[in-house]
Amino acid sequence: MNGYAFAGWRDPCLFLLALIALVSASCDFPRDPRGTLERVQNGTMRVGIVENDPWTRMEAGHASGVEVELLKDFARELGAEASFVPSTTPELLEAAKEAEVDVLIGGFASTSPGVSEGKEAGVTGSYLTTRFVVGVPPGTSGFDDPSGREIAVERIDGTAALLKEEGAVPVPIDDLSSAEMPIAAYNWQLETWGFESTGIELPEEKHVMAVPLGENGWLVELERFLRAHRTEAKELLREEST
Amino acid sequence: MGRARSPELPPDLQRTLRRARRLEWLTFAYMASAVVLLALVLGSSQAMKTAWIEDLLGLIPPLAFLVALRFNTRGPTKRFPYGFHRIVSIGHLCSALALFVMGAYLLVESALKLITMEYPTINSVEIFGHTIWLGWLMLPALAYSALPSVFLGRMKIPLAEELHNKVLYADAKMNKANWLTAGAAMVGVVGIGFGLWWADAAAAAIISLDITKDGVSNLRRAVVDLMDQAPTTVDGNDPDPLRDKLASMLRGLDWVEEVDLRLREEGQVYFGEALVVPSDETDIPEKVEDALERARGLDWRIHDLALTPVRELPETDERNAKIPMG
Repeated sequence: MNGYAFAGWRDPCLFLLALIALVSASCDFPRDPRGTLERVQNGTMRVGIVENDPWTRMEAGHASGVEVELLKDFARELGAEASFVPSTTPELLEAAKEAEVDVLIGGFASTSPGVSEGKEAGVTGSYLTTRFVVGVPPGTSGFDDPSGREIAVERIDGTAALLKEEGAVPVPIDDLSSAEMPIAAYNWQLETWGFESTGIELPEEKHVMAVPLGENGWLVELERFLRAHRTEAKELLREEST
Repeated sequence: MGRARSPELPPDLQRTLRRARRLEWLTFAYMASAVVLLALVLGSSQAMKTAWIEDLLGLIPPLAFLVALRFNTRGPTKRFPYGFHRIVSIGHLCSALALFVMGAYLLVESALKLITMEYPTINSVEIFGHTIWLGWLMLPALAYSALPSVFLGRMKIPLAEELHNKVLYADAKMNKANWLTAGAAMVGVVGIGFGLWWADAAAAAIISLDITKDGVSNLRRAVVDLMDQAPTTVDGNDPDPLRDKLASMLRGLDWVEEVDLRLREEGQVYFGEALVVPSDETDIPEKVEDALERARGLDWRIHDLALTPVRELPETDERNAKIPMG
């Protein structure tokens, strides 16, 4: 019993020691199974982009938007050049599976179907949290309960879905700033456009980007960058959305 | 007829039982804390998930033990004339089944991940302004989930042997082997850190194999116990020598010609019947009472024995077959 006991307790300790030695010897870990980070540094960063104003826009082959600007900065930091590949979410997820793109952007939130599950692509932690507020045109009376009311949105998307969950009727309108009905928008948009907030807030949206599955070194590098540029992201969003 | 004694255990073993109960409470609390800790750093590593589920399943045996303890020493009632001893075996069966099913499920899942070449993705977290890869945090969490349990397991094995409690024994063995699980999961996570995507699923497969193996062997033991297998030692490998000791004690009585004895395990204790052919038929009631007294004096585990005097033993008789299963 005693001999056995000794051997039994020594094994896990040896094992742990070996692990600690191994981990402390490592600085540039985790590594990528397909070497994305190494390839991008001083090379090209291929960005899959799905149009979703104000986060991502493609105009005459020219990319812009909050997330585009962020990634351009990221590329600069890595000494890389960013090239943008416009497509749809399913197409880009397929491409990410084969590691044909390095990052996916498109105003994705932590609830976006297809991306957020982390099955087809790895998802970064959220780098920015936003929340829509319902506002009314100046001179109109506010309200407490959105249910049954028509509320203007830019297009039928996640915001419209959130409104619908609250019982409201989302109505797509081209230009929110001149709408003559209640709108769902960011606080600073309401202020700039002269709307009055009703105090009704939609659930938070946590914004994320996606990378090919398993490229952990690359993922951690991107997360580190995004965390360090939270304020910048917020300012960019204000600029791009007013 | 020998009536059941209550409580089950002699005084010195009651102390052992109290110790075992304290250790199982400790195990339960510690395993629960390990489950919470691992959940905090879970991420999407398959090996990690497997280790976590094993810890989660590890909550069942101490729970089964503690619940069983509340019932198994209750005296027999009109509705349950044999008492509640078997609840220990039922607890054993439940935890074995849980182990087996989860092990098989996790084995299939990790094999699928290997076949479909799924790349495990692990994020980073921000701690005090530093970005740290979650994989590194998994390592100390895994170590916490493994090392203390090795010692707990080691402390519980002798208690399980003394108490003849198979649930406690199975639990102790699982605790003792826990460092293997955690070690494999660590290798998997470190493998991911090295960019070896398959290390994770491979480690998970090894862990789930171990869980399945535990499940199968416990399932077999629990089932054969409920099938009234002849009593075995607590590790289930050998027939309990107590049966032969009791048989030869009865055979050695001067008024006994022949003996046919069968015993079965009900949780920690043994129930059974002995048919004896008396050579001298005077004062049978007194003689039977004396024999039962001696039988109970032999060992506390001989709990409920019925002794029936007969003219001759039944002819077709495989009762004394001594090959234990499980």
